[in-house]
Amino acid sequence: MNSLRKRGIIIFSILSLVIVACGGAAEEEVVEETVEEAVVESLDSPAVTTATAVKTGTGVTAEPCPAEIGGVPTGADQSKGCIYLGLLNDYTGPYAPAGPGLELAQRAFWLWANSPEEAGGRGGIGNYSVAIREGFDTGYNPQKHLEGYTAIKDEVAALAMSLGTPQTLFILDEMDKDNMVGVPMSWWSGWSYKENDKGLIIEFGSQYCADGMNAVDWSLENLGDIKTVGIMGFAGDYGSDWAAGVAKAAEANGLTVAWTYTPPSTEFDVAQAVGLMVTQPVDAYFPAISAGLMAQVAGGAAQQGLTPFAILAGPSFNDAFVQEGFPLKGLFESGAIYAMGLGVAPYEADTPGHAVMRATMGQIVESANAFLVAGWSSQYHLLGVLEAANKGGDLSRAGIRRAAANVTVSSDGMMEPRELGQDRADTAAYIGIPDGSIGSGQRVLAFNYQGSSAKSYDWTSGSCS
Amino acid sequence: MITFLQATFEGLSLGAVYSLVAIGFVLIYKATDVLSFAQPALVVVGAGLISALAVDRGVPFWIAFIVGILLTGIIGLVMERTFLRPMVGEPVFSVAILTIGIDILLRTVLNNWIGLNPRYLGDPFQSFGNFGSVNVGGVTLKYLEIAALFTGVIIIILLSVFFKRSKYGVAMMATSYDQEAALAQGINVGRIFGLVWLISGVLAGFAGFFITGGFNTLTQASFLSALRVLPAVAIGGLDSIPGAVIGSLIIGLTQGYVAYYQLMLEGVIGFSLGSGFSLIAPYLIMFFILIFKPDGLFGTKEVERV
Amino acid sequence: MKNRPNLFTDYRKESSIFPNNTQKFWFAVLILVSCTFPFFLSSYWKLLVTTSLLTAIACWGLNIVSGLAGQINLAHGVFVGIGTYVSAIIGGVATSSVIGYELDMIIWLPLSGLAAAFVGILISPVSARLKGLNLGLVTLALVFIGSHFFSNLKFITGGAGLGRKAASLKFLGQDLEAGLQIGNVLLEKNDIIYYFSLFLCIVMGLGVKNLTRSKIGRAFSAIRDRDIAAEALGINLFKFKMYAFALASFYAGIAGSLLFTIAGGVEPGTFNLLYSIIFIAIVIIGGAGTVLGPLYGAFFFTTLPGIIQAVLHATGLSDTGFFLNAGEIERIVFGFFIIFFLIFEPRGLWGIWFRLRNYFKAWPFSY
Repeated sequence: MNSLRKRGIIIFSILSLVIVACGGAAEEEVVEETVEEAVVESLDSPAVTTATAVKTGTGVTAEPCPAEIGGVPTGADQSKGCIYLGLLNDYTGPYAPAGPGLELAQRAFWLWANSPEEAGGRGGIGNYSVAIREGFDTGYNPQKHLEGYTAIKDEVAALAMSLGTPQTLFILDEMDKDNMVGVPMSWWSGWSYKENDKGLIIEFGSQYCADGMNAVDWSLENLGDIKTVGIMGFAGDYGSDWAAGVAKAAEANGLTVAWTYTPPSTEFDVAQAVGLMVTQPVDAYFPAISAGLMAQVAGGAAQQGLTPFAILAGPSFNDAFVQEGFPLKGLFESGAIYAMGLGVAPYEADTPGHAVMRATMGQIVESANAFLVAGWSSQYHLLGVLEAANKGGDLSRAGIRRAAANVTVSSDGMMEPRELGQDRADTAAYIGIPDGSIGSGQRVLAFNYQGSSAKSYDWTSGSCS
Repeated sequence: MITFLQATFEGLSLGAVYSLVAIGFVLIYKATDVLSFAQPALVVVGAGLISALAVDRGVPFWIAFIVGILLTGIIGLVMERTFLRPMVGEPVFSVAILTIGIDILLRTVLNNWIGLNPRYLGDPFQSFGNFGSVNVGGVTLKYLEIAALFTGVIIIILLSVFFKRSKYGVAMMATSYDQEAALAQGINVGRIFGLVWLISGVLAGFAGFFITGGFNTLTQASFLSALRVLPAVAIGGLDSIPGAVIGSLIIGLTQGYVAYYQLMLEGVIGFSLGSGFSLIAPYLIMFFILIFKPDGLFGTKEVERV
Repeated sequence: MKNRPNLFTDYRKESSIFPNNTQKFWFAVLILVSCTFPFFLSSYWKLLVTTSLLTAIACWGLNIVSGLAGQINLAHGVFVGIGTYVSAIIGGVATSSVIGYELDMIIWLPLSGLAAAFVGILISPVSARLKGLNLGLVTLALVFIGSHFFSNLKFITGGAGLGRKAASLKFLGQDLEAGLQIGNVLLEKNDIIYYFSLFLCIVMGLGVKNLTRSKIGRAFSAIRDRDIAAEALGINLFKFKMYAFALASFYAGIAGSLLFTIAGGVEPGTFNLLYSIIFIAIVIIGGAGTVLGPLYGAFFFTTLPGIIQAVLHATGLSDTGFFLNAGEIERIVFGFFIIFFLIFEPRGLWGIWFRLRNYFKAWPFSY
């Protein structure tokens, strides 16, 4: 009887797996169709012939890139060689929801950058197109991150993304040995300094510390009388950096910081966050937490009749807050709450870079999510570095690293032009107000804003946290 | 004083939500000797089902609510029938680890569905009054949490009536007391086990709604709130339903008071307890209570024979 | 008579580590083959094997306290964490935010084990008072209290979300960070860690084997099977439970001290509940209470992602629009393995190996 039952379990498990698989597959089909419709092949470009010999190294091949990787066309010119980039992404850890979106946008960026200039693209990097190899799942786990790096390092010329600040810091020694430059997916102020990143990390966008300062300055200029402030954030590269920036600007402006609540993300207690606001009321608070918690904190405080001004760090805001039917839509659109960006202005911003992004991304996926913008904009500076390396005639890893050390990169207006390797953080920030009538859920209020605190702060003194 | 009352209400309402999960834990442990680490996963699955029906499929909220909760119960039943039935009689610890396996399965699939954005459940509570709350003499009372308190009380009353009056309830008590003796009395123990898991699944569904309802929203991290019930169960005693409720209230109140008074306390003692202390305090309390009362406050002491 | 493998003329021989020459031979072969791994494995697989070896050491620790002595311990990951941070303080590099003394490995390796063992001893009175699930729940509390300390002691751990670098490799005054040149062969840092891990794994493995055949090991088994009966037989429960926790934590500390030197650094969030549960799962999948089980389990668990990735690539399943991605499939498989091993093969991988071995021993007869 017992063995019969065991057989029953096996049959049940297989059946359930099949059912789950079928159900899932059916659901997925819809998404896939939209992707396939959107395929724009642009392979009819004439072969570019330049006589200069460019030195190449690991991860650069004379054979063309595959036409498609990870379900997105590479747009590679089949008459050109290929520069492969690596991708250390999170598909199963805490950033699993964001990982695929970031990757999609990064692949879309190179689809555009590979397409010929006549078609509005960049025509690749000289005699080469660029393709991101299949992503490695790190699960946001440092151990697996290193495993992933080890697994892919011999096949790539640079890293299109190394997701996770501590993880990237831990593999820096290895990257240093291999001359591997990489793009981070965090806006930690430390990435701007050689003492932290050994000149290997190609940072992009305004970082949290400056965002925090600008948030305080902007709210003082535009929101009126603010005397006491509260700071809340997750411990680590994100929340602590932001908290440091807010605290510095508060000090510069003579504000009182009533409380600073920065627990690790797993220990964040909404009851305590609301409790702090009730027991120590503030005129404005500056949260750098997750979107799910943000709704609970803002809503919980509103229930107690407290609606102080709030300037949200980029990841704290989510367009779901202002969608029809969300119970806090009214609160978020009330004018008490403002949001900053993920390093750059959101999807709808009015710059040539954003326009190109919308034109390319709009064909692949219908979403204005902030992670798509982050993924796209993250590649701009890397493109600049690769172009500089190609111009310098050296596409080996060492050449790319040299290029990354001193080059001014621009991003078609998406971000301020930036001189890499200058030991100074980017400070131009974006601030918006939640608005449900716009795809990304916010309307631009200030663009490339620089407050007095961020301007006068001595950025050569190193990272904020 | 107002602050104190507010902190007390916060604590009580947290405790009420916790108690719904805790009763599920205790029911299962009492009747089947299984400490189900899969219970927190069932909680979020319940919320996910409600959200999928009410928001994604557009089913009216109350129908979605009832169907979602019943479906959660059925998932509990299926879990017992498939994975846990063959483990009857195995060491308690092995079964507990097995439920961790189930937890991993449930949450992986659920997290895949939740995805990037927070999901809301489509309930009407937040549109009442001031974002779903009413001010009574300076203290803010929240509809969702008042509903949780009432639901908790009603469920506890229903359960105690069920255990005393109904045939199955009495059979369940007999089974939890001694499985073999119950079997000898002609009680279908297998059916009782299934029923217990069904009830706990339903309770998990309720708890799932109250944890993620309104603007609390369902995210991949919602599961952490459900996990906070573990110290409550341990404090009350693994096999006592009143214990589960009182344990939950202790945990809720601790969390509430620490949340409101930690800054003041730190000012008095002169050093920082660390950010995030309000979530560690319950575990500290549990640690000390278990050292002095190994079976919890209300747990029955196991009589050991050699 | 002497050449018959299973004939023992005295007890000492029967309980020896290698009861016959065949086992000695194969053990030697295994060690020799292991020593050549760095020369033909790709760096990715080398990393996996090294991690497996160190994980096995930690799992042996858990196996001592849970498998041999029967004391449920859900906080094993915290002890690994203690070992990690002690080694990071003593052997790590100081920065503006964390302390570190850059001492020799010969100092931090044993000290990290001893420090973890010390904490284990501090905890052990709890286990003398509690048993079964209640002990499990208290150790669960330890996981959360431990993580709270880890994330708040910023001068040691670097704080949650940023972490710190692990201990740097310096052995007997020789700096091994950049590798070691022996004749024509250059051993990279990871090769060196591999050899250290292999050596430790052999020593610690023999240690467990010896433990099972000593007085302490037999006392552990008696406590696991029935603690009251054991006490009646004159076994001091308090003392032996303390031994069990101390030994287990020592193993965890040693493993922890090296485990994160491979990854380069460590973030306090690593030592969460799931981290501890993974150790339990490994011991169960490998075979609780056996000597070889945790080793099998550690290899199985650590290389599972690599294997699944390879299988997915080979079958092309990941590209067919299956709604779970590779990582999620890996997690689902992990969950199913825990469930199926508990239901169908409670003795774990060791049990499967044991049956296979006996089958082929008796081949072609079924018994």
